[in-house]
Amino acid sequence: MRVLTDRLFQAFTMLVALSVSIILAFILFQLIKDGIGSINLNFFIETARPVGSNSGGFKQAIVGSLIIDSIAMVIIISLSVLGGLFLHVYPEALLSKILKEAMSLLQGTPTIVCGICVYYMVVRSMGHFSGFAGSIALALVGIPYMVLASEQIFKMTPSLLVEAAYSLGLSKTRVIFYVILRFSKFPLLAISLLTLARIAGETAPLLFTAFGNSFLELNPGRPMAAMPLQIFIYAISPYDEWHRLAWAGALLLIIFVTVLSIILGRYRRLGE
Amino acid sequence: MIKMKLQDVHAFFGKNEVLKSINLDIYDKAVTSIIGPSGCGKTTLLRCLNRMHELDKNASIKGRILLDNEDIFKMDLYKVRRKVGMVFQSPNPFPFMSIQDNVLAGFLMSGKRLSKNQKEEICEKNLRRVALWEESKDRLRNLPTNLSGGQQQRLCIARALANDPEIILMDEPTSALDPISTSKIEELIIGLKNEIVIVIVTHNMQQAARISDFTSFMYLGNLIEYGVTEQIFKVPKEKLTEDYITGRFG
Repeated sequence: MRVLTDRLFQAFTMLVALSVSIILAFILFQLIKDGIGSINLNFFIETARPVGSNSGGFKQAIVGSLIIDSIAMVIIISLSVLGGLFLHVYPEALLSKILKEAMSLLQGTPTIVCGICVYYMVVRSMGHFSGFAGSIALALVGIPYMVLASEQIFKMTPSLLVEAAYSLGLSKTRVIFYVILRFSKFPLLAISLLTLARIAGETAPLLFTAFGNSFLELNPGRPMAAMPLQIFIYAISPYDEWHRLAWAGALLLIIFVTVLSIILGRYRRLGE
Repeated sequence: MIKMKLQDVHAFFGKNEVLKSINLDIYDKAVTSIIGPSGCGKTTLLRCLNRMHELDKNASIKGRILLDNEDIFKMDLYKVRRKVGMVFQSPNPFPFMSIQDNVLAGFLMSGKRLSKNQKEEICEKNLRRVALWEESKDRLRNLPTNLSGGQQQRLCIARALANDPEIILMDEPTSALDPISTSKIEELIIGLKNEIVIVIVTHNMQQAARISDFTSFMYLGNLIEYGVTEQIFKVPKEKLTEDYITGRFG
């Protein structure tokens, strides 16, 4: 009976794993089938073109995403590492409890709400959409995730190492900088890449902030295109030509996230 | 000459009193061992000597501990810990630093600038003091994770020595090591006692008898007996000490 239950449970878990893998395989298959045909040199070096020109690419969206995501990551990493450190060093402080609750709440907030908040706080006060506003909206999505993850990472620092540093006569600040942060370097890098993978595909926060742009724009103070935004614009259009570009864009985004995951795997090994 | 003097020291974790009125003199150029059954307060006593006990948020200490007649609770905390170094139960070199940087950790982490020559000199001197130079001189830039447990522990002693302390506290430094590594550390302790004061907590009574000049026996947070090692092991004054040494309880 025990063996039978074991076999049944094994078969059930395998079935579940297989069905999840089938969904993933289907998505990948569909993306490759419809997207690969449109990925060519023009896709990378041309900006959006009007319908009927039978060309046009994602250049403005790729560059826009790079700029918006980079600014967002700078904001996310700097604030989250500090926030995570505060939670780790002063876990009993009232501010820590408030911060932790706020981060948990923000983590569950729909991303479009982050976009609307930034629209009211930044876009309206600036008077126009901008890549910078998009970065802030993405940062709002990424920060709670990374603050809570950083706190967990800092907690993993072995107390033996922390005590060894204190026994050498080091102050708390130096122990944080030289032991906790150095020990957490690789996990923090890994979690940053995960956060980047998470925000890179976000569309909703960019709708009311970065807004999108059909032309190449390098100034983050102005409306900018971004990969997910461009995919959204192409996908909701009635034109087959733009649909193909949307599939290609989605495929590129998936490739980007996959590459990040591979790098992440390497960092994980380095961390160990 | 008395190097460190404990006067009516009480230590607490919250309201729980784990050390009860300890009075103890630690002599210069000698090895003092602290023995006793598990949970008797040996490690807490050791951690009071360089104020590591205070790292625990619920911990507190009462009484006076004098280092060269100066109360360590009135001294700068970091200065106390630089003067009274510590080696832990499990080897704990910093895994993200090279062997050389581990030896120099006290300098590098406190922001002291050293020339390349000074670095090499301090590193060689201290690795020689712990008899690790010959084994590691060709891989000073490597991470310490490739060293054996015994070598890592000697590296930790070198790290503590490089900080130029006056006293080194050792909390069961050989409990995680094999017999050969243990004997090397013991030789090292005997060799170092002319330069530095060593206080060692050990579970191993033979070890205490082999390497220490003075032995203190603790039981349930009380210092039951303290004296010259030979006297403690041969003619203990207290019945409890005799029972512990002869293995009637432990």
